Amino acid sequence: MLFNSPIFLAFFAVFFVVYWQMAKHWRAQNLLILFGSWFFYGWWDERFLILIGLSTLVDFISGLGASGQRPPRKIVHKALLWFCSLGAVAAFISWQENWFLLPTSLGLGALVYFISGNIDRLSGPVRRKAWLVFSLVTNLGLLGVFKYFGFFTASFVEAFSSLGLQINTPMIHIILPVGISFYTFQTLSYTIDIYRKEMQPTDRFIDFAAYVAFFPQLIAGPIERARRLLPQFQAPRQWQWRMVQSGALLFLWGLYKKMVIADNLAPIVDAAFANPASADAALMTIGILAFAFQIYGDFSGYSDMARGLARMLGFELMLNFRLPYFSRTPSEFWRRWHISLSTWLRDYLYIPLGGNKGGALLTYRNLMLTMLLGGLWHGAAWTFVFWGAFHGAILALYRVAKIDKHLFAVNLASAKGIALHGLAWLVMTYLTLIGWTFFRAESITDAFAAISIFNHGLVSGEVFMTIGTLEQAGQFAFYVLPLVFVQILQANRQSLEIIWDDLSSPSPIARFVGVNFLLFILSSLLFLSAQSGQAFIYFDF
Amino acid sequence: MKNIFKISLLSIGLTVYGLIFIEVFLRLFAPQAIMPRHVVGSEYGVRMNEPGAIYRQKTAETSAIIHINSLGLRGPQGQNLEKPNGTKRIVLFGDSYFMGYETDYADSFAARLGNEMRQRQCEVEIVNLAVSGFGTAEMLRTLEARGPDFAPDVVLFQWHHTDPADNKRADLYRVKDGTLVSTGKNYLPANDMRKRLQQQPAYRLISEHSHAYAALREKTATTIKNLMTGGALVKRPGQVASFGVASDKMVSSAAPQDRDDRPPATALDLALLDAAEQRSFEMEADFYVVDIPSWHSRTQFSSGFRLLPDQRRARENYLSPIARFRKEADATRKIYWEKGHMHLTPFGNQLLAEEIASKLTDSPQERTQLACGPKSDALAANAPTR
Repeated sequence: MLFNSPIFLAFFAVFFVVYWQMAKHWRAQNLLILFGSWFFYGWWDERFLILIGLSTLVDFISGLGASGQRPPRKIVHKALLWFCSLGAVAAFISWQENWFLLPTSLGLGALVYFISGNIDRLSGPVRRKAWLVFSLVTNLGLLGVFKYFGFFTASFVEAFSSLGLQINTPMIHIILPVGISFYTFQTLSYTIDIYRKEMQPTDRFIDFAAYVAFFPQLIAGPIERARRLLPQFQAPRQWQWRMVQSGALLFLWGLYKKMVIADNLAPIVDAAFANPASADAALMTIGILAFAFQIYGDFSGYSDMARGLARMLGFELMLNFRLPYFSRTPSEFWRRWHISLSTWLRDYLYIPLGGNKGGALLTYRNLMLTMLLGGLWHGAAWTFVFWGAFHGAILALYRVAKIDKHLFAVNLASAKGIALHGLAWLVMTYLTLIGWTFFRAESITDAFAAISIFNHGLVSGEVFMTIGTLEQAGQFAFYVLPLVFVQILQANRQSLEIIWDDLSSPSPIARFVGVNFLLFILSSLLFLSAQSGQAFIYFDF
Repeated sequence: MKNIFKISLLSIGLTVYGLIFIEVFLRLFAPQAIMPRHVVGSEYGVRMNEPGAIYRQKTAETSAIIHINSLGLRGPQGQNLEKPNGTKRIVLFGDSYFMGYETDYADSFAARLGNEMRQRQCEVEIVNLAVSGFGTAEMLRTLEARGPDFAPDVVLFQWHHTDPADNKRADLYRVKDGTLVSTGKNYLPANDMRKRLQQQPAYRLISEHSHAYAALREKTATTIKNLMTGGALVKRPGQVASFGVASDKMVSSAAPQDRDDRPPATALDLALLDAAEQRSFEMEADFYVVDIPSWHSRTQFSSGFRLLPDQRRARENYLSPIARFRKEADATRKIYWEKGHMHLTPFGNQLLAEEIASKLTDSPQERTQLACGPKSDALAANAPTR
């Protein structure tokens, strides 16, 4: 179910009413969230339920074990029962096609039981580490098989064939389960934080499973941390009308970014990237710019919808985007773009690798490795790896030149500051666009072709002479300018929810402005939504 | 009490302000096609054009004036039931395409067809019984009720991919044991309500000038049609939509040759066409079915005849301009309007008229009633009797 579909709106409307009817019984609400989230996820494909069930089961038990305790047998049995029941339900939904899910869930349950029993027999710190390894192997294994098997196989074969060796490998078509990159990282972070003694585990399977499967953020994030979100499942949620209003508004704003901006820019991007080698400079430039806003509108739009929905249910999800295109340096960009992923990579990859504590060379190595894997997380394709490597390289470069240190020491309010920060912003914008070109292109060759045309157009001035006549330039400006206007206001007022701020302000003028903002969003959604709905880009990750 | 009053006042105020906002918003950012429709219920149970109505249609691309004469036809004023001497009558049955929406009369298919026929030495009068929104069932009902009055020599029935859905929704006829039977029902959708509303000057003003009204009416009509046909219509380019609700002209976003997801014409549709052909023969008129292709892009179209069985569309009296459209299509000129309701432009109507006129006059099929044109002498000598 897409958030911008009638079926989801109907589902949420019913869910919302039932959920708040149970406000006095927050444990029952968690159960409702769990069932609702599994229903939501199973709607995509009921087979996916086994995978999220497995990740949940393993990390629930591993979390208990990684804290140093021996997971109580009763709790483990209960968790296994939940998992096998989930498998049975998934199987019975469409028995003729999915009967195998029942023996699979039983088999996997038995395997988990066997492994956990053996880990339990270990003693001392080895046992804690074993639980951590169990979680890592399960979650990274799921990712490896379902996301990267085809990619690595094909790359392996290609590498050998370039050496003149033909290798036959089994061709297996593996479906990429939607959201797998998000929930595996989320469950991993739970176990790792417990192992690091940064939080205590929960012994309530329902609370944990609801946290993992929480439908507003299940499919495309934000990647929540257990120590931030799980406590919200372990306390009553208070009904507040203001919370529901601001959540609904945030949802609408996200919907606007997705349906009006991202989806309308998609055809421009497709036209430019269909055949980069033969595109002219103006179209390529507009195409790259359009993609920058398409991916932003798509992803930040989804994040806002997720946060809005969660807020309407009494939960506060983390901020995932903070005006990333205002960034002046790569490190600032990564503090503003996909914040949940960048902080996850920082805390669970960069810092464990040594961070910046091992000298300059090790720091650059750690930056590159982190960004390479960050690129790979986005997709099983060399273009994503290249994008990650590109960002790793510019992060390292900026660090070598100490640009952040010098730039942010200059007062922005001065003339020198305006000039320097302005220049830094221009350079970072250019670098961001180059990076996005790799992200969007179908191949490395296409990416370089597109970049070459883009650069040539800028350097020769050709793009400035022809871009004004391009129909797509007008369309781009039409959809993007309102967003840019709002973002400038958000930056100026240092608030990302300026519409809510205005609507809830005691000032009648501010409320009037807020009403007009809201009417603009609603009218745009009604009358300017794209002709053909586009899939969310980040669902592919 | 004071609170309730305050809340009510605020709600009304916000609603009015919201509607004004939407109106301004649409005029600035998404001008709508203003396409009022003036139809009334006829005594034969389907809609007809309101006699004497004059109204303007306006889109971001064009504007047109629609005059309906005293006979309820879009045509020259002073048209009579009686056929002028020495003139052949071509009677059109169709929907807004044959009516010539979004073009002035002189640029409509009807007028251009008349011109083309006259250029081919055929003195004809075009009688346009097309009504916007019609399907084959309504055309047949109109043919049965009014056709004999006009003594047609040629009957042209329009066919478009919306017809199967329209025929099902109208429920005027059914196929019983292989035979077409009338259900005896009328089909006058929202007629009473429209009649009452049209009497209000405020409504007429809004329906003929308001972009907000046009947009909301379009969405409502499409949603209702969706629900009545039980299917999801695909969005139409140029007509904004949200949440999968589309406008009333179905258009595919897939390449025409790849699109096979529209249901084929049913037994009802084929029976309706056969019945129309039979009624025409009974009136001693030649019968033709004219395809109105669907727009996909300026250079891509798909024929409505794709919904018909192969044997049917191969018939000589089933005429399609699609080959000509594809030949003349060019990224720089429009055969269909793109920002309104996708009707044919004057150029599109001209192409259609040329194709139909040439097939009417140059067809190798033995000519019967339309004894005019370059091959008329040779054909007239061999005219079969009915």
